[in-house]
Amino acid sequence: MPTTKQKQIKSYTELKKELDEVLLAMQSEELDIDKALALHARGSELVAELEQYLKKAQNRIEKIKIQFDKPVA
Amino acid sequence: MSELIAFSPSDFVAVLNQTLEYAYPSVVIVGELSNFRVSKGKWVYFDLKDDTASVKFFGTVYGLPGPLEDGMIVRVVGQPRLSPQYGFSVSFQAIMPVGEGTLKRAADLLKRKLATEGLFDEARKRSVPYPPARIGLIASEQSAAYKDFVKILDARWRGVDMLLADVQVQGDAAVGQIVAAVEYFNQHESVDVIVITRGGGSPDDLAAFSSEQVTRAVAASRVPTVVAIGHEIDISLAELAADVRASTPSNAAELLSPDIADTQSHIAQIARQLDVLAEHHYNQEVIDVKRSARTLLSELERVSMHAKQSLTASAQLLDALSPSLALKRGYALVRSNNKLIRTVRSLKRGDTLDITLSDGSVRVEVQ
Repeated sequence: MPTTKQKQIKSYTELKKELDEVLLAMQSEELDIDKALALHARGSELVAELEQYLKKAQNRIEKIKIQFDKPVA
Repeated sequence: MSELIAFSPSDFVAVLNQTLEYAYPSVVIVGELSNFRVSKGKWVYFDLKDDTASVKFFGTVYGLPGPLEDGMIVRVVGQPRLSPQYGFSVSFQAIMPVGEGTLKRAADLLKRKLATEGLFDEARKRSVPYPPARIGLIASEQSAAYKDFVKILDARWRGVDMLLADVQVQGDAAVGQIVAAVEYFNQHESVDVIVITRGGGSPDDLAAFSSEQVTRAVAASRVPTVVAIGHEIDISLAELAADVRASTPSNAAELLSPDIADTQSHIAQIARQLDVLAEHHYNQEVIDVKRSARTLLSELERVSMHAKQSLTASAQLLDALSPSLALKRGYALVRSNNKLIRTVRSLKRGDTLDITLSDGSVRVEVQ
């Protein structure tokens, strides 16, 4: 499903950037109610995704399997 | 009595070099630098001496750790050999200043040189992604610095990919390995930031981080860099060249990541803000709709009032134009054969006329 795929690809920074944009757009006084409700729905989705990210994500460590310069004997 | 072998000078040099190579493929000599000179910008010559002996060395500028000068105590790794023309010397591969005084002098010389080139300029500093999604970590896997960095990052943040380049952070191989790791991350991996870290130590232990090669590699890195070296008072040159300097490995993790609890609370605050804003827009819409309804009503009233006034005026006009009103005032309608008679010219004696007055009609004859 495209939505799930999109969720997997987006990083925390991308999600947070979009949420900040939604918040900024919602602060406009000229916003009509339809747009405001759509933005609120998207903002709530992003909040849920970010909360899930902070709850579930793990740090991963991978050791590079190449040898850098050998020590001088 | 066994007979000694007679060598030609060339054979003797060749045999001696073979013997030296077998016995001492590599030697480490520590001594005071003297007669240091660079020829044609490439060839380096110097002697290492102590109270009773002096050894000649030869190599290229590429093996130098940075600017050197006579009187410094250095540790040189090289291969002894006998040149057919110039006699005995050691071809050096690596030179490392040793001892606090020498290290400081070497670092000061190098610092001045690199500062002149602009490597430490504030204008060169780039911002580091906060938080980064992928970190290239250059450290010794066995070090407390590496463990501290990972531990603090784990405590503060989630979802970071760390690629560890396990390198020696002190000793002869450190400079080459650190430089190779920086170049590796720049050329072969997509990382948001490179973190180079190790714990504190003696000036000798930390010498690699003030070497010219490591400092230049950090300054030349296309990927933003964070360098965190121990708790020392003296800052290494690699730290000065880095985009961000952290005081400790833990501090590096702190500078790169927000606190997760703070972030969770911030996200919750944004969620509340979104609700408040949505409610604001909803209330605003309700006010607008009510205002529109009032405007509509008042417009209807105005139109209705106008229609009423217009109707009254028409009725009054209609009344004013009504013939019955004229009849009441004493006028009469005269018809002959149902045709309205307006003049006497068409009448003749004996015509019958119907005269309508306000309260009825009479028939008369013209005399």
